[in-house]
Amino acid sequence: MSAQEKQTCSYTISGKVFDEHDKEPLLYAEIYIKDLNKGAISDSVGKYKIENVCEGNYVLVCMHIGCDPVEKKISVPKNLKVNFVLEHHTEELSNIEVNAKRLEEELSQQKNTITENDRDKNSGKNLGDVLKEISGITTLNTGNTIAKPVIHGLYGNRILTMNNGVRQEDQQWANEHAPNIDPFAIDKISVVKGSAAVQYGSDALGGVILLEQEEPNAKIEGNIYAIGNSNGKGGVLSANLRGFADKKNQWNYKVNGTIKRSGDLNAPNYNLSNTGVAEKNIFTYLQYKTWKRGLTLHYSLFNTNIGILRATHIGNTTDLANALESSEPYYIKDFTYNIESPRQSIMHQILKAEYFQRLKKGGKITFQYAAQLNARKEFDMRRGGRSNIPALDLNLQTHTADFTFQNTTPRKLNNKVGVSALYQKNYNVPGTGFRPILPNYDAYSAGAFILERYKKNKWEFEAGARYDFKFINAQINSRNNESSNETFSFHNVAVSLGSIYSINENVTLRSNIGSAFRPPNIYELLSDGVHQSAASIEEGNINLKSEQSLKWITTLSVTTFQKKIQIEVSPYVNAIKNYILLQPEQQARLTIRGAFPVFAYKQTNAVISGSDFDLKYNIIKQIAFTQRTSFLYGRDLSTKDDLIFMPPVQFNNSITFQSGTIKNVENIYLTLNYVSVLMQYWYPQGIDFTAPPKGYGLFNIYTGIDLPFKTQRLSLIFQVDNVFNVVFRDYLNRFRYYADNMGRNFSLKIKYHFSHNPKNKTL
Amino acid sequence: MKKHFLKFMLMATGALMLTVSGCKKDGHDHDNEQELITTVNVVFTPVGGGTPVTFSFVDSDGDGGNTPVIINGTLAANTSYAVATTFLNESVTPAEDITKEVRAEGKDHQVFYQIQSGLNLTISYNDTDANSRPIGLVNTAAAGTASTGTLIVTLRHEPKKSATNVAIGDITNAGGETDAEITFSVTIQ
Repeated sequence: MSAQEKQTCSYTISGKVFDEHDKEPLLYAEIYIKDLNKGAISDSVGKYKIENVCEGNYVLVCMHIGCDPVEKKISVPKNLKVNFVLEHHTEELSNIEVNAKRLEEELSQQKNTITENDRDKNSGKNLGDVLKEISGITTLNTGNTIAKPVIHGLYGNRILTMNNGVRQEDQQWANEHAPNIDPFAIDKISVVKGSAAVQYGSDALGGVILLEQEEPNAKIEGNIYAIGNSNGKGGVLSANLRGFADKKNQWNYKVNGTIKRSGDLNAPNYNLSNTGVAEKNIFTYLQYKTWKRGLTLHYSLFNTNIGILRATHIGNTTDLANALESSEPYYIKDFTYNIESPRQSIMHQILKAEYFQRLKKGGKITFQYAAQLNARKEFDMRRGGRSNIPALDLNLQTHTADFTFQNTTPRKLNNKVGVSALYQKNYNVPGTGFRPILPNYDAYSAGAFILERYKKNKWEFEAGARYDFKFINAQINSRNNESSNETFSFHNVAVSLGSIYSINENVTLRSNIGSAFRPPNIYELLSDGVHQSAASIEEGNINLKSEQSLKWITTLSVTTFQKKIQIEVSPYVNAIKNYILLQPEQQARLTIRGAFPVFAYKQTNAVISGSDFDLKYNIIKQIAFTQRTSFLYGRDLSTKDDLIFMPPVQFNNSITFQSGTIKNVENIYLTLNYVSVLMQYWYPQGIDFTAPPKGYGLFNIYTGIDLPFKTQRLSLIFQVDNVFNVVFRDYLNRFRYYADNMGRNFSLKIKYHFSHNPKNKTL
Repeated sequence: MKKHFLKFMLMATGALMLTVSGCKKDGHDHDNEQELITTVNVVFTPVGGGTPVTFSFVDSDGDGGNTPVIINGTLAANTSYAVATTFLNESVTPAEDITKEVRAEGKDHQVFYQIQSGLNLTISYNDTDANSRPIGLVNTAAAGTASTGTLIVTLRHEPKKSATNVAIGDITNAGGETDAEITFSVTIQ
């Protein structure tokens, strides 16, 4: 290679910012390279640093609140020091105390992010199972392929998923509906366990799942995953490519494709007939971004076809009683890849446009519009060759618009304000041959919020408030085919108050008390009919009010023993007013399939409290021990009884043996993991069809190596889940009435990563 | 400039949302309940001639709504009967005869008759599917001495017809999914 082509992008521009009057250093000045997506904010002594700058000529701009921007022309053939002196028009900046690092962070609450290692270890699993890496997160399962995430005992419409800034809207009202998201397409998966309703709006009673994208780390980079599983004889293939498209790194892009195919899974003693999966997903975005402004266009398509265990298809309470008495499911056939009825076929599409701009006087405005289309078809066992006609055929269309202003240059108070609007239309595609269980409806909602932040010494405070209005117009068809409209209006207010106290660099205490709300969903308001898989009749209640919660969560993070031990303890209390739940009615209802128990939606006051505990101990460099414990208790204050379907106590212990580099092999590790789930002793009597199953313990083994080759890397992971092929049923798996959970699974995961920086080549 | 851009974005979104919500209301397509069974008739016709006795269960608006109407009957002691069971969907006009579907898919259906001990009644299958196994739509019955008790009539979809004793009408090992399950009170006098 000739010398000319060896252009490096590793220069650093650094310097200091001063006030002209008193020559004092200025903190929180924004310094950025015009036309480039690069910038920095000056620290408490006025210093700033912009790294990884390529050779070239630029204009460097310095902005600060109350000052005119200053521009300087620079030429970068080497590392540069550029100082700025700014003139202030006002004296308002004397008492600034905000931590720059936290300025653009979202909340004073603890945000738990899944590490890349844990991501790789769980690659190929669905979102709910990946999230289980965070303590306090469990799943509500329908078999092994449908998993709804549960945060501190709450799930479905009581938690919120922000999928790349868009609130995911995909028929979460039913327990057998999992979020329609491909984890491979997400760069960063985190959970806010506190109530974050002020910023994100309704439904965030239990917490928020945040799925985010990150900018590429290289000019062009990509990953290919190939995964094979013994149980289900299935595989996953996923590939992504991302990078910058232009010289100035203003345009970046990402494309991701995933294909998943699996046949029937196996319980230790029998085949779980009709539990195959076929999934095809696409994710793409294109982004234009400079320090001053940016535009993102994003489209994703999620497409899945999931078989539902054949033996769970029952007609009445006699069938259910037979299933409960039998040790094996009544329908067991040989392994097959075929996916027959009952099954779900779902397509979810998201189209998003987002624009941000930094204002001259400081601050950042963001505008976002997103459209979502969720098409859900559910197929049942039917007579007369109708099994290929969907029994449920729903189209849910959601449009959201959000506008936020965030103050990035601080005054005494830092604020973020926003408004949002939502329109939703649910439509039953005709031709199913069934009276729809969810009526057609239009829903409108609008909201506004404000978040304020204040920092003084070691304390940081945050306070916020939000107002939301929701209007629903549902079109109901009666049994006699008469149409009528039912309208509902809900006004909701949420507030939050949080603080962070950093005792020293090793001890941080965060505490947040926040309220959240959730208007009842249409199913809770208007359902009326047999819930086939639950062998019961469920009746809606048009008088339901919004649920209103108040959650107090405190997190103590301690790093000690020469930083070898990290401990995090998070106790919480969540008090929910007007908690909506199904309660049994006195009288059963006679139908042509016999008598069914009747459950009606009612409201009560409930309290869920518990704690999560995380420990990481690096015993020596080669051995690390991690421990996660979570427990909670839910109580219905009206009936003075336990809440149903609360996750039992669980422990997750791992010991990892790791070594550095041996010859050309890196990150060699072996993890022995033991997960233990206790029996749930706290449950209400006489509501569930059977008592909770016994507790269980599962051994898992993970081992992996990395083979780096210049800018490429091949990672191999071999793992065995449920090593001893333990037979178990899980309290939060709806299939526990019918069949055991899946047994042992061997899987091999291959990840190929490459990155390429043409200007950084050293040949 | 920026303000204009913002204004434009806001207006564009507003317009888009209006367009979407302002669309013409979709017609209310009423889905007819195609597979609903509203009516089960079990007709006992004396072999030697005489008035047939009909047991029936009618829930014309399906699950919920109005309560079902059940008609029970009285059989004559020491009499043989031909028994025909029919299934109808009377929520649509004209009523749909589901018996035909059951017969056409005879391999995937079977009607079971469970007789409470004490009731002196035996019911035997008198029809077969393509695999020479009973369906249970056409049967014979023998009423014994005077007695009372219950008769449970069950229509199973996809039962294991090859399982032990299923072919002689024992539901215990049948499995499958229940499409209808009716309990009748029977008097033999």
